[in-house]
Amino acid sequence: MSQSQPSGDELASSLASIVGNDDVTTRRDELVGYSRDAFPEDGVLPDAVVRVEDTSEVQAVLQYANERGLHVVPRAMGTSLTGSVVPVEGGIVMDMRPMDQILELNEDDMFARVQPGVRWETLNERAEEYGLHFPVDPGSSSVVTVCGMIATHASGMRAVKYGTTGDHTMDLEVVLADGTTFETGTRSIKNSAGYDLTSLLVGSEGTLGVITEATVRLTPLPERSRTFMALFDDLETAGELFVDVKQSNFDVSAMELLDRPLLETLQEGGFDVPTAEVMVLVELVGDRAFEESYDELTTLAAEGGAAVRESDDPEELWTARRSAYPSLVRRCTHPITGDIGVPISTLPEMLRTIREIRDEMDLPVSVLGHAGDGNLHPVILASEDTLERGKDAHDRMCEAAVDLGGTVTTEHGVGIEKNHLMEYQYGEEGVAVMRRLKRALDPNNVLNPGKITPSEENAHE
Amino acid sequence: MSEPSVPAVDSGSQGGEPGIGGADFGRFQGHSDRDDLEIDTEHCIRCGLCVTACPVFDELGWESVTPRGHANVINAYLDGTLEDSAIVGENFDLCLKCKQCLEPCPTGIEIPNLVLRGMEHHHEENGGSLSDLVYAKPRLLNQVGGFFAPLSNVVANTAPVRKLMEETIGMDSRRPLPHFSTSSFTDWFASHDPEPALGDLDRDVALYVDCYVDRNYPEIGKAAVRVLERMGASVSLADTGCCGRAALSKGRIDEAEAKADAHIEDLVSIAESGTDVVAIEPSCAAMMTTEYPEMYDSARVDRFAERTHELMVYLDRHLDSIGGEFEFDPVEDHVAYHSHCHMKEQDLGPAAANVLQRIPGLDVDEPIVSCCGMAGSFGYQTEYYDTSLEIGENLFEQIRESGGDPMAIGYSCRLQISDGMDTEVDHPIHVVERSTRP
Repeated sequence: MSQSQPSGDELASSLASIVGNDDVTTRRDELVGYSRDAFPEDGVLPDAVVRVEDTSEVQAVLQYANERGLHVVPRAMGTSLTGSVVPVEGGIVMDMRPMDQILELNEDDMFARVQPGVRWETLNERAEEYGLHFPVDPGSSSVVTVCGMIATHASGMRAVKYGTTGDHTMDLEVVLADGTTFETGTRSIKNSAGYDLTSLLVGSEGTLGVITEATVRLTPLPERSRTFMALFDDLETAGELFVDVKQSNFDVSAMELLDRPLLETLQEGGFDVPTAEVMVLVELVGDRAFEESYDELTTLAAEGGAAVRESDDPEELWTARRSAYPSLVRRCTHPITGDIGVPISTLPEMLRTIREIRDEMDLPVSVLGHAGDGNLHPVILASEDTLERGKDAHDRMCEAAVDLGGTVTTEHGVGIEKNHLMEYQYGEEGVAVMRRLKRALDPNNVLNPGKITPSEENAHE
Repeated sequence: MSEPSVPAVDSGSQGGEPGIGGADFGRFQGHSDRDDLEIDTEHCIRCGLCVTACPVFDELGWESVTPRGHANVINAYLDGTLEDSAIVGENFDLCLKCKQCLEPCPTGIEIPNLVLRGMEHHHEENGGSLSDLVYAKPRLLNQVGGFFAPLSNVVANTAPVRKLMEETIGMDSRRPLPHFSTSSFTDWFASHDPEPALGDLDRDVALYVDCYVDRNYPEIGKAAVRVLERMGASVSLADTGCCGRAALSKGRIDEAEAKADAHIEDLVSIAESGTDVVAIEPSCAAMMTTEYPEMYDSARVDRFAERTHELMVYLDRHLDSIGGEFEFDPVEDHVAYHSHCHMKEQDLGPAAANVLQRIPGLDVDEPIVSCCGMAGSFGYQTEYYDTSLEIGENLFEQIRESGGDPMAIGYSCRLQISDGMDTEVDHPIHVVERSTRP
């Protein structure tokens, strides 16, 4: 830090000289809004908010902040479930939404180049004109930005076939805290040239650099799809189905698990979903030999103990699935949303462990998840009185996932919610390496402090 | 045994029970206390799915004006994080209450109604403004203006009077005022000769006399009566008083409730006599069909709401089954029809376009926008006049591209389009009237 911290007026005036008067604010109602995202706990009010319109403004704001040691939190739609985009120590929130152009959509090589304010839905509307889509499908797909998905390494319901956002990220334009701007990758399908900086930035939650452009891979839209429900009497038997399907060669694009409390919640909300201990919603896509595959897959599910049903209205089922999370969390005042991932073969064991923790700690827990790729969302419906117990239960579930070879977060990112669990997953040495990386790229700790690793550990002597 | 009369709106606390997940978080249930409101705002899970539905955010682009942003501001206002009264008041004003955020909300929270309840607390703690007091009483203003017409049209539009209005009640002098008619719709109705019934719509219809039709837009009322009578309906008037929408949209909930209380029994009685209630203004129709049932926990009010429709929705519902000689003559024209946000919110947006598309020769375009940006008095207010027109620009541009004559069902929408595009804007009932002349 080479200069003293500016006063509020000085800060606003300096930022206005970069982005213009209309794109900087210190109004308190704005600061309140930008101190919160979809994580239930509030952040700290920033000192100012700027809206940026191009890479040069991002560079200038970061250089200004870097020279003064001011924190900068890049943000777009603010849909993070872990507090990834809320300030923890004041500073500047950088709203990327005005950078909302699709710069290129290449039909032949099937990629798109987007600015950070481009929403998933906007990109897919354009891509669909060419028979393509950006297939990674998060629950917040109607509003989330593509670059926000990259920054948190989001995935969602169709990762079982299409993989994660990282799998579709080819190249990024990134601005570091000191204003240095560089490209991380290429438009080639394969690239073995040196360090994979693209992967380093994917999931970095704005702590290493600010993504100002991204090239993402698109895939052809499937010609056909069909959905069925597999109903089970218990979670563990359902878990076996995921193992069986994973070991087979079906073109399953989504395999979603919904437990009884969740199904009951959806029924109360007017959705036409069946009553069962567990429902697994399976979507098969493809073109050639589609019907044969469908028959084989449903037979496999039936042999695995499922009552198989096909819906007259699969869209209704997928709408119900998309409504599952909000339907659940509105049932309580202090929801805690797990996002654990485990190897597929350990899913039955993980499901057993979740149930044991639930019973031992006497907490209402409902489980949903993209179980086809080993991703479970145990949602702990805590109240003010049970919040601390709920957090302990969540930590135990995360640690159990790590013990099974899994992760504390698969697609929501770390944010401020899970940074205390990073050492359990990576050990002291792993986290220390992350801190060294952070220091190397952001020596003044300007970019989104307090995320991924705890703030006090991130501070520089 | 007859059912009991509709009780006055209960002004006691009716907020949702915390932590249970009832279906009514944030719904308009009349006056609520501070704690209930705070609990309701906390049930916004801040997912942001509402953000892109908001026309104000679309124009201004700041987080505080998103529906989620309003919930955050109410919450911060109630817990003391946000103390600046002027900022809070402005934030509440910048919700147009167009309700386009309801459809994408996965938790069913009605943020516009949380804002209204927030406004009510803000008024109580800071005193309501003179402009809010005035804007909440359109019927009184229009009755006075109509009484003195045509003099009132001249006087109200002189520069000194406009300047005075701007300085006292913040009414922007650039915004044209509604015209006061020298003759009233109700007087015309009392002496009019009913149209010959061409159709066999054998129903009794009470046309609701809203605050504007009598002295500002009597021609729309006349056209509505003529069309309904040609369809075969027996038309009377429901001249029961203001529905309270204007007061409600200013967060003056007690006043809105009092206006509703003053005529709910009359309206319910009309419906119970087997008469359909038809409202010309979509906001009034929505007030009676969506807000009243929530204000009154009464099966009688629910049944009244089921019998009540906006004019074009009513036509759309009955045109399929109508027999006799009622038919549409060709009208060779091209129109760009803008629906109303409160109709869209109830999935009734296409009704008027459905009716227009029955007219042979009429080419109908439908601009796709969430809200015109006028929002009742919002577009009159000096501090929001420019913003209002900027929000409307998307609509204006689509109408220009269409090349059709602009049409809209809402009074405010027509005024906004007229001002923003410097053109005349018709209510679609006029085309229907032309097309169905005996």
